[in-house]
Amino acid sequence: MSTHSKKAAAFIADSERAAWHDRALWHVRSKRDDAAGAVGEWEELRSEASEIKRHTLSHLVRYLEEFESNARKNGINLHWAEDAAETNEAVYGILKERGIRKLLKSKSMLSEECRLNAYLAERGVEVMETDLGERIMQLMDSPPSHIVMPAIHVRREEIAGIFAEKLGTDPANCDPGYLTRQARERLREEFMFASAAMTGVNFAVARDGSFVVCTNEGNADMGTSFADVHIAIMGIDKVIPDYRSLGVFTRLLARSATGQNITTYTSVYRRPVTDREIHLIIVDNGRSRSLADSSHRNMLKCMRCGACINTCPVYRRSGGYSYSYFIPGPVGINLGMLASPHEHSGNLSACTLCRSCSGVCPARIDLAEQIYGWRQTLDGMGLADPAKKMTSKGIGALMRSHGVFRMATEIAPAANLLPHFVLHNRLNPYYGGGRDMPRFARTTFEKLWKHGKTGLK
Amino acid sequence: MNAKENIIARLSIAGIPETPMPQIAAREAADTDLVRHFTAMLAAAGGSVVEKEPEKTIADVIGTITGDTSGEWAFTVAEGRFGVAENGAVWITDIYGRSRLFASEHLVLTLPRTAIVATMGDAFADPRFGFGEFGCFVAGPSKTADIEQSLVTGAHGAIRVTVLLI
Repeated sequence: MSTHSKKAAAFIADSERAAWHDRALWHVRSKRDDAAGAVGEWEELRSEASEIKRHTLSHLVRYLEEFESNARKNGINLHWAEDAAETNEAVYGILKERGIRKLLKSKSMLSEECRLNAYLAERGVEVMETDLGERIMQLMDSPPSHIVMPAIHVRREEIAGIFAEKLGTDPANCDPGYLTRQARERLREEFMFASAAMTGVNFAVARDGSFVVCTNEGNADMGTSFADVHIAIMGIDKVIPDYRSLGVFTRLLARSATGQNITTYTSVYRRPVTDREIHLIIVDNGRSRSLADSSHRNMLKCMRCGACINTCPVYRRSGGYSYSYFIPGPVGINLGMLASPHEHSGNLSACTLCRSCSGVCPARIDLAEQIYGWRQTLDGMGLADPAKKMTSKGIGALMRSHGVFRMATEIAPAANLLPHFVLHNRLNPYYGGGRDMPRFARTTFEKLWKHGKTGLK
Repeated sequence: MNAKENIIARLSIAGIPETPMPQIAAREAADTDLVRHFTAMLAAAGGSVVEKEPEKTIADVIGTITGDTSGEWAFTVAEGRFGVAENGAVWITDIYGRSRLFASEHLVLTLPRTAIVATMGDAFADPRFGFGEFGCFVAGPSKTADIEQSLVTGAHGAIRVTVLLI
């Protein structure tokens, strides 16, 4: 069994909860469908987004240098970081130099990738998540299970419980409105007296040296409005050529992520306000290496909308914690393999190759095709599942010989008469702990055809 | 070599075939009644539209909208440069101080009813899309569905957004 199927066993053991999770994610997927369906040119927008990203990635050095030059002219402090360690050091350096011991953070998957929070905490910097979902997970001391909806797997009673324990709220009140108000009231003072706020970057506009942050809650903008120091971190893949490109991406992003026509706030930062600072850290952390891989460079078109995760039937029924990489679902399976194939190859089995992910990706990334491609490489890396390998060889031999195949189809119906345990056990990969083998037909279509018994004239 | 040089060096040998920037098509409005579409999309995003009657002053109408509320952060009035019909967003630049846009409970945005464009494609090409340090497209009140996908209006930003068409 793969790492994914082992962890997923725990998730599906609670079948009522698994069904609830499945329904919740499917609901988000269907909101995406409604939003996309209302845009007549949706498919053209996807093509434009894909081509803009491909063009940008094929001229990435030029666009990064253009962005840096313009951002610097705007008074933004730019830092470059090759990996997670340099990213964390850069953030800590900025805070330490200014004697800042608390950082108000809004969502950044890159910060998860670099494990920034733990790094800062170890050095005496208090990191406070301000996005509600991230805040819930921080209080629960657990990682997010989805890149857009971090607490999608948590029930309201559990949130009420952790809020009561950590914040002193009413444990009996699990109304989402009440809980959200409590988070609002407690974070308000934090925002107003914040020294430093951190955001991610959705898009960095090369032509203008500005960057864009798309949010719903207002936490990112509350932080950056009050704090003197704004630290933004971005992967090198976030740069786009111009505002014309934004006219495409901002029509796709929110509709794909949550089914909204646009996020509540689409904030464009160009210059620091007088007496304040903006620091922007441009991070590689393996992206340049992925770009050199022609089979997988498409992953850098990703805008982290999560549409692929929401639609994935395996994710919906197994949850984010079943994956070994910090990002789950189709995007996570692929990014995990690019980060470390040996560590994350177990996730490759978390896929039925239904290709729904490739169908919803706003940037037309060939997510499913890449997963299939990775599977072909497993044997060469010594990571192929031995049972599956043996079965594949056996079936291959069966299919290559007319004689053997014919004989097998003659004998197969006898299997219907065997005791259940003979075929349904660990040696049969199809069984996999729960599925019954299909019953074999008593005779083949070929025979029926030859005897004129198919009902077709 | 420093980080930037190393990154650029790796990117320079990535060997990606160059592809051109695509033609981005000009789009027609889905609904030619931009005010109606804007109003409907803002409502879908949890905001509301008030139309100023010609005989009333802006100040009067704002007084009606904000009512008796008091307190430093009760409400803020800001000038919207233009709106976007496909999503109810209003483009604002921080003339009055950015923090008030987000920290006030009720955000009232004035918007000339003729200053509504169809899509974000039109928005970014519009001459009114200009700003200094900061600008923001605001589409309705802050919101979250992080708790069991249950939509809550009013997270950390404005709890209520009213667009006053003038």
